[in-house]
Amino acid sequence: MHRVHANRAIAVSAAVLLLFWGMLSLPVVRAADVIDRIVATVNGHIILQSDLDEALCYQALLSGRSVAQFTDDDRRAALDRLIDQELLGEQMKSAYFQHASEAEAASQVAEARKLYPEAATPEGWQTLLARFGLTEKALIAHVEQQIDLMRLVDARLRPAVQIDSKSIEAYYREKFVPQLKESGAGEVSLADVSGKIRELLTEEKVNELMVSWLQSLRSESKVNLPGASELSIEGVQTR
Amino acid sequence: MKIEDPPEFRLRHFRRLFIEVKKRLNPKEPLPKRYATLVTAMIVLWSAVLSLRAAPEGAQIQAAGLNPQYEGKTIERVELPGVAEQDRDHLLQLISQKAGTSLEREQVRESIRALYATGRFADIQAEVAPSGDAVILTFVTSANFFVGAVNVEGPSSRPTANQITNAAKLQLGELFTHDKLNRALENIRQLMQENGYYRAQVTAESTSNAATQQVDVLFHISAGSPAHVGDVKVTGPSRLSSGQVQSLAHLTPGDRVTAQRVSNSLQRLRKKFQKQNRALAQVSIAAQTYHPETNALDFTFQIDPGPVVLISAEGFHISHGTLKREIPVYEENAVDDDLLNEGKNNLLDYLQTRGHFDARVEIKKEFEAKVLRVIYVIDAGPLHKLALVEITGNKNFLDTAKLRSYLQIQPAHRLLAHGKYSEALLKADVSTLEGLYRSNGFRQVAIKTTVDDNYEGSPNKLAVHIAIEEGERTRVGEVHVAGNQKVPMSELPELTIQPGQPYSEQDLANDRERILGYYFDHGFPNASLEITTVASTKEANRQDVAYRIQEGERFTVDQVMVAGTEHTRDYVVQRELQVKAADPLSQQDLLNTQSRLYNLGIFSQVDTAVQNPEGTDPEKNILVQVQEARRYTFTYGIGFEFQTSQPTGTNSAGATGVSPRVEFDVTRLNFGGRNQTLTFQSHVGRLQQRGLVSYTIPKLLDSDKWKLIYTIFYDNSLDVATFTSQRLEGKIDLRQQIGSAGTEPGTRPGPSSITYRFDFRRVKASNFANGFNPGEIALLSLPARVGGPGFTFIRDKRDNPLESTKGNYFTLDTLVSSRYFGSEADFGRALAQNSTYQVIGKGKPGHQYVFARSTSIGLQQPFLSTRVLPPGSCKLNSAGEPTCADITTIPLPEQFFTGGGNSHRGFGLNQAGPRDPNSGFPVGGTALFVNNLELRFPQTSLPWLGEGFGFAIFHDMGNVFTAPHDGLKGLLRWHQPSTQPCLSSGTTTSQYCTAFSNSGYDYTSHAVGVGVRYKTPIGPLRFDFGYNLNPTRYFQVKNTTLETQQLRHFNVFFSIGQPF
Repeated sequence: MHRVHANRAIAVSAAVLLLFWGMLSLPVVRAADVIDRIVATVNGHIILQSDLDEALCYQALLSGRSVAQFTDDDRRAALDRLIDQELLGEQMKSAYFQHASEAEAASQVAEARKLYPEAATPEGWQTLLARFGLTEKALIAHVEQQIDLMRLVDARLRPAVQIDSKSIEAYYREKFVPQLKESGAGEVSLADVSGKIRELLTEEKVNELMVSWLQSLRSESKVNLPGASELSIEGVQTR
Repeated sequence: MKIEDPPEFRLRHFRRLFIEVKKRLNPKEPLPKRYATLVTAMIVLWSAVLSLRAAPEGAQIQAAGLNPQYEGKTIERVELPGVAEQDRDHLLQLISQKAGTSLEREQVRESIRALYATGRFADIQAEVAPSGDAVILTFVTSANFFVGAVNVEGPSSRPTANQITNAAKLQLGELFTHDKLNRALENIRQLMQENGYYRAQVTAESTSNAATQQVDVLFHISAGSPAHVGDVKVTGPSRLSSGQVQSLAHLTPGDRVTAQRVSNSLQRLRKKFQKQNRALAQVSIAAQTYHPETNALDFTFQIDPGPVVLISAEGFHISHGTLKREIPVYEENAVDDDLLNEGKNNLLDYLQTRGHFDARVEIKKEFEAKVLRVIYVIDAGPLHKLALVEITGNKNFLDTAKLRSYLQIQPAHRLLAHGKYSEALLKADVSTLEGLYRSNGFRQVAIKTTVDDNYEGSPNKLAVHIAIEEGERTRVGEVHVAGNQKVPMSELPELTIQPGQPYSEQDLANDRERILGYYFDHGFPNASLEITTVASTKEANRQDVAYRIQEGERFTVDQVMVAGTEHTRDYVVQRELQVKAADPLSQQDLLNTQSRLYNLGIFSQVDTAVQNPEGTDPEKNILVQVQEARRYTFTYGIGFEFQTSQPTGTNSAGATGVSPRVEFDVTRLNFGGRNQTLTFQSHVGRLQQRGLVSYTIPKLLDSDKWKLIYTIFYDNSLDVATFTSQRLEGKIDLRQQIGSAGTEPGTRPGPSSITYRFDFRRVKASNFANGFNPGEIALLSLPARVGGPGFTFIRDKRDNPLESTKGNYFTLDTLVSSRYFGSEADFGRALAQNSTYQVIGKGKPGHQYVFARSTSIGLQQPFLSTRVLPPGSCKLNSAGEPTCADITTIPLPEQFFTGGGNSHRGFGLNQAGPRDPNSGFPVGGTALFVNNLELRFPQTSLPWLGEGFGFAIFHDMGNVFTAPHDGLKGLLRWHQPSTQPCLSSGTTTSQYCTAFSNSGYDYTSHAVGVGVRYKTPIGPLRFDFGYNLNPTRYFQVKNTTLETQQLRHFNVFFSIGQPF
């Protein structure tokens, strides 16, 4: 009985080795490489793998990180952002607001450039961009789009936000003063910081409204992730 | 403390707020253990081989993304696996990354976007494989599917299969998704519940066809037992008990729940409150609670009766009936400001048409406890009469009559005793006329009005003078057309607007319609046109016109896919298709196709659609989805028939016969799947028995203009008082439509058609009247074969066959009956009728006088041995045998008879013409002449009876004559010879009697009369009262005594439809 099992193991091993030898001796037939694909569709518009890669490159450049540092979570978050941007982009067509100028975008790009000492010279900057697979023109256009999206959100949501003085006083009393004491700084009067607190509270409120707006847009939209399994992003969901 | 954030703070922050990453949802099944080891080993080995042999040094394998080693390499070929061959080439044309070019990341992206935008694919992946120094680019796709046939299996009678299909909201040709299918199921379940089927099981079965990318959906419905009414409750301030609501709504626990029952219940409850003048009552179903364990549905009615609404008028007497008619609150059963204001305007109109031109109406509302009073406060002002509306100064545009047709103010006339006028109406009219002038190039038009309220010295008698200063008319300067890149100017329809012509906005609109219509019908569904006009800088009073066309993408037809035919042969559908592969996509062609298929009458539903309408693919598949109608139609009925001039045996004018009647028809449509129809029709009564079998080939030789009909026909009718006519007939009709076949939507068949015919029939006269000349009975009662070729020509140029007001109608029917065709009598026959219609005066359509006239001429000419025998000319010899047994005559049922509501209204049905000298019964003749003149009055309303009544006066003349040559003489004779000499004894008188029988009936009989018409959807109900000015006198043997008789002067007819 043991002999039978041993013979079978020898036969299997021989077959595997024979197959291995055959593979080595065969002319090489390369399998096709996937060079691009659809990773999401939003109301009939597609987001490609290359769009996602490009978005990660922008993100890496503007945040001073390396693309290699991005985790799967980062990639999923980037895709989710692209979906949101597509949804907001549709809203942009029917909205009126001051669009970003190229100069404004260039100024933002200049700020990002300061993160890289090697980009101080034009050659160094171009080398850096090439490393990320980007061009300066495309980068500026990308930043313009980002500024436009923020302005769209402001134009749409900020007018709906009203911060009353009681909220400012409450924030000053319950959050600002305790943190001030904790940091050991000197006393700052409510009048001195009320403007900034108002702005902070406004931002928080805009954020809340933004969340519900995007939720609403998603619920009214058709978002499919045909390439989701390849991206390992099953489970991306809104709440 | 820093409280500012960098610019991207917010966006990053948002994402953290609403994105949550869950663990993998679809872990793969582990492989069976004993194979897993081997497969894993092979994968590892394979990877090792590839990395050892193929991976270039330093290359990075990415999850996706263009490997730098491929960038810039020449593409040997581009592949689209899994796509049908006929589609592949044109799809490859759409993409920017072509074979032979170098591989570029951006081009690949654009190519994927272009392919996706076609709408044909749900997913696309670009792959590259090396091939020598070049690469092979492959777009791996997964196809989209589109909605095909949607059918239902097992529906209840309510909802019907059509209702269920509509509820599914799956549109033919649109993208099919499982979301849509789930929504469809949900909608159908809701529909079933609305109809009381809470236990319905609804499932769907979809069948996809990869070749056509179509998905057919079959919904299986198992309705289950219908729910019944459970508890009926009531909420709201109505104070009605549950029992009262049940009683009022006719909704009792245990009743079966149906949508109709629930709707009726609500209606009944609302009606109750409406009767109480509670127009603000709110009745609705607040809740429906289903109990699955008992299959019962509880209803909770929400009832708020609201206040009693009382509407009245103050300051002027308005009858309650008028208020109900003019205030829409009563009709709509609702009260709101819009309805009340509409009522106010209606009352103003009412007052102004009655001469109170200065009337004012205000609305006053008074709220009391549970009562809302709406009072129309009326200041009627003095009574006026608008006697004159004068328009002057119109020289270069419309004539006065045309301009008047645009006015709301109207001078007094027969039906509007005071005319119609108010300052507001006049102002609106001036505005209308100015707009009309300006839109037709009279930019400087000025219209002044003066109102003379003491016209002809009579206070409150008004005359309105409208003086028009037209000014110079603007003309068209230069005309430019731009943007027509794919359609040359020579192919565009000719423009109405031409340089130098009068400028007209209507012409501009016409041009817009024609240009866009052309584009839409030639594959440019997104074409648009912008028209700009500017004052010419070169010439004064000229307007330059520029048409700027945005053509958009041109779409063509890829394939035409027909589905749904089960029995119908392919060619039957194919010959109706107006869309062909490679033709430009035309919405009109789709509509024409649908219309033509419906016109076949063999499909109960025809849908045409573009597959994937939202995709950008310029080659579109066209879907034609048909549903075959039931092939057998059974019709049966029972009723009564009545007819005048029935044989009575003794009364030569005939009697009115009444009989029960049974009908049974069977129609077999689409015989053999060839769109040919087999019909059996029968009706049996005491007055008439008829059976017919016909076989119709509607499109002979695939032509819309030729139709072939085979008919076998049996008829036993008693519409001539003298005898019973029996006819067994077979015939072949070949009908040719001359001009348009009328099969295209919006077209009518050409006015003319001709039917070539071969008739073969056996006719027999029997059941002769009492006392009929026995010498002729033997001859006339013999069955006779009649057969031969003939044709019928029809030319119909009437505007409306049911109620003609203009045009004419001409028919010519001929037959040659000869022994060469198997006939036993040789004769030729021609019967022609021509009717004309003419409007008199300038009233509005439907309110005009119409003068109608019709002339019928019929001639029969025997030849060879066939003879015409005058009445009574065939005597018995001394042996009591007929003296003319060997003579061949035209059979009695083939002779002309006339008289009745649709021919000569001075006679009863078929009572005109020569008569048998013994019995006095009509025996027909071989020539016929009838002329009708009729003046039809406009429709009017009668007190108590309402609208839709019309009157007519008429004059009919003519008769049936013994022979054609007698007809010519008879037309000039208005009186018959005296009958008196015949009643005296002696030879001379006998000859006189014979002469009277030969030609005494050849005269022209005149009748005048009046008619009453009542309009119905199937034509006017018609009562005609005819008075014969010179009715026929004839002889009749009564109790062996020859007596003179005379037909009655007065005849009454009832019928449906105009007489001609």
